[in-house]
Amino acid sequence: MSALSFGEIVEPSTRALIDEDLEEYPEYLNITPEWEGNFTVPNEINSLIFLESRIVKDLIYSCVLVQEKSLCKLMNGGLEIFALPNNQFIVLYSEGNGLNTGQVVESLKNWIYTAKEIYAITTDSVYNYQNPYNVEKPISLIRVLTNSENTFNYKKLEQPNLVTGLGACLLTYCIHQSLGKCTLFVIYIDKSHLDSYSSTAVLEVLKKLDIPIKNSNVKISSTSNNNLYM
Amino acid sequence: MASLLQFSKPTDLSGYVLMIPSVSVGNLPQLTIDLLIKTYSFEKIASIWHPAIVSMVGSDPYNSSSSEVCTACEFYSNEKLKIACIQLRSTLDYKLAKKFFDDIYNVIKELQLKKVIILSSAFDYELHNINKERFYFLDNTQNNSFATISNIKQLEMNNNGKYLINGSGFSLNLYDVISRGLKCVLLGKYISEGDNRPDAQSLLEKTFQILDMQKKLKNIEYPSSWAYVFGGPPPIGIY
Repeated sequence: MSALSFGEIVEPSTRALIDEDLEEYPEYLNITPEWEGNFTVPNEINSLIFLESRIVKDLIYSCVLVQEKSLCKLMNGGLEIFALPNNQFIVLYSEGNGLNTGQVVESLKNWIYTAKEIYAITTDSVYNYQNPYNVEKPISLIRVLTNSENTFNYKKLEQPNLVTGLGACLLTYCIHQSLGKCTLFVIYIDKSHLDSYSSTAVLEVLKKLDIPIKNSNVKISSTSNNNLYM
Repeated sequence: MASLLQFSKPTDLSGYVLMIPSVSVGNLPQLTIDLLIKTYSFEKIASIWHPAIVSMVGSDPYNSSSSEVCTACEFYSNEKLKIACIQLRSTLDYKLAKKFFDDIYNVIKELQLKKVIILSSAFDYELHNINKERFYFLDNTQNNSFATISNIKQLEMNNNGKYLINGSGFSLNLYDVISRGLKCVLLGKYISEGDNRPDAQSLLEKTFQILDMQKKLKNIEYPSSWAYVFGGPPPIGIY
């Protein structure tokens, strides 16, 4: 965690306080996935590549998709699927209201079963990385978790580091269904936005997955998402 | 929805005691389950999937050299002790929590278990007199043996006729569901956040006492993932 500033409000970290006021949990409401576009599962999927986190998505739009139109969108799940050559499919995910990650993954069940390989790429701040070694943390680093053989030249994510989000959910689902074909890449970056240095790590993973990169010399806007201190 | 439990091999759990941790203060129940799994070499027998469980993955917390991936919710058992346990390393999506409680109840009902023990913890500022019992329980088995156990009290209803344990997460809700048709005990300890390893050890001992298995108590072993409770080692470069 980065150093605290004077006067900064620190929220209690205990998970016990989450939903503390919920004496009664709400009744379960079944939400139906609302797809827009062509959601038909292709006959062949060589690789299904899931990308989450805003910074990776910005890079993908600039370097890989470049004005590509999505095949379909999950309107109440923050999901968009794009087709690439060679039966590769990119799935972009952003957390939103509606379905949670578990429900999103279940709605993609047929895609997951059809795919020969499943990859998920997520990012986290390098400050959240629990370094088990007696050396300084690098500016960016890549770790892998997989339920098949680790054929990539990246280290396995060391304990006690944990990953959450859609990537974690996918890997959990594949383990549970005994689908031994899912690999999760965690890219630790030292900034909240990508610059030319940290984007190299993401592009490196994309290249290893044989994703065609149309434009690797891109300018990524580092404008913040809010108007505080503009 | 995918089936909730996926066993890696045919398993008969009839007559077993099942322990379920609630996400509560200091993660004490999860720490206790970790100690149980590590000390008594529990075997992972099933994975658990439910959309209510907030997903989380990491390396095997009990063996740093293993290539196995650990997930947010897993099912372990020990044949000699006749104890099974669920380890929940994450939390629940509150919108789906009720469905999860019903689904898990329907699944474990089929396992013909002897008893279910829900572990929990509560904020110790609830204890107005620190000399009073630090452990609490609720029990639908009408078991009189609790009277012989020291430092433990039965929870009392508040003025509204409800049980309330601040900081105990979903433990009461789960107890309500499971005690509908299974023998169930809710067991917890009043604690504060901090280094809760000794509390986990004492909760484990108390659980064994309730099960009348004190003779089975062993020297506690910490999982290797607990090595970084206070962060990783300092980089050599700072010296």
